Amino acid sequence: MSVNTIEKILWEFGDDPSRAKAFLKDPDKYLAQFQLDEEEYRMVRTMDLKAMDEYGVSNLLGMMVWPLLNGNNQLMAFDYLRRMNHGDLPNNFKLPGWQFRMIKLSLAIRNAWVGALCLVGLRKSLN
Amino acid sequence: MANLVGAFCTAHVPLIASRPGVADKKQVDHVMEAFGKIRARMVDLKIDTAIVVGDDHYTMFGPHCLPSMLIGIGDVDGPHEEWLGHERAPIANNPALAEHIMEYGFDHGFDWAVAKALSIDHSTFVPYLKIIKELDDVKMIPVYLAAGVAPLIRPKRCVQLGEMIASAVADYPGDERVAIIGTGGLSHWVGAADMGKVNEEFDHEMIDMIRRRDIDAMLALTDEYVLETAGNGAYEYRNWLVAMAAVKDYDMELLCYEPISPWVTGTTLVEFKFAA
Repeated sequence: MSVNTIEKILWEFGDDPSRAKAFLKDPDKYLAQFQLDEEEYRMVRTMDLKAMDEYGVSNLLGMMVWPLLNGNNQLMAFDYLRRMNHGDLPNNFKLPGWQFRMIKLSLAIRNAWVGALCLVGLRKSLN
Repeated sequence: MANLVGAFCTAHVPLIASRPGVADKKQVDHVMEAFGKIRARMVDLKIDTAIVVGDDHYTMFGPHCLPSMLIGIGDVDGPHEEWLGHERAPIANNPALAEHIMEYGFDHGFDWAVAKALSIDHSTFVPYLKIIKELDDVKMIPVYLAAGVAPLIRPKRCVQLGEMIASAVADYPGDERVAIIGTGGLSHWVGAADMGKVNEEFDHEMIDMIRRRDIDAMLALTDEYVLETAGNGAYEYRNWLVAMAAVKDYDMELLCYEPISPWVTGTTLVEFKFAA
């Protein structure tokens, strides 16, 4: 039960991506093999990047694992940065204004789409 | 005996290998020109072996084993990271010289970790790609420091390591002409909330310290100050200290400095020209 165990979990995702797939398939079953306290378990189970950062988990690992679990696409780095900034995306990469606004819009659309898919899934499972 | 005749420091931004074009073309061109200048100097100096000092980014080594300093004495290949977009391929080492440096280190109080076969990450692969790979018959000895993943190697130890490597090269009976290349960025926040930010003021202060070979001033920097002012990536000045310490007296030539936010790094390349 420590930041070290979380780092081990994340590092093993990068070292063997089949572990990341096993985690995505059944997170609770996967995490059962590790000693995590309740809050540590929540952080990893929900991939709460900011909480892990504040807990002392290496940012190198958070950044490595995020695309493994969420797909390595053009928006990935911005989505990561937004989560590291409590939902607010700063223009740290100094993009032109129009490009930055497009990225924010794309992220909002994607998140709305993912949210809608989750709602559909939830309704199906309740039925 | 072998001779240390060249010393350089370079950025190792992974995007140089994977997607350099995300940054402003003028800045990218400036960096690539600087790599070209290093290649030209390597030819002029007739370098046949480069000792390249990098740091793992929690990809090669895991929580189960984090070496403070490591030397690759045998087979080398790279890059370790698939996402760099380059096929993993063999890289020529100079195993006889590497083993000599390892043994010399053991005899002089450096119990470093040893890799008999090593897949290198971007920190040494990028300099390999942009400098060594484009030259004929230049071999590479990789050295890794704990400059990215805590617990971090102490900067003072990096200075001692650089001095030891220079002595080990001079003690080698071969006729190699050797360069040492320290790698890493100046200010950069890797994976942190401030990722993309570059602190140009810090970068210029650091470049001035390097220009003056003011090792004492660099050793006075605390990790807390560096983290707060320049980000977790700036710990990589440790790699540069090794190259600086290997050369007793130099004139630094600044080949380029570019604050490149899309590369998330204050990016610089320098040469340490040996004083006559």
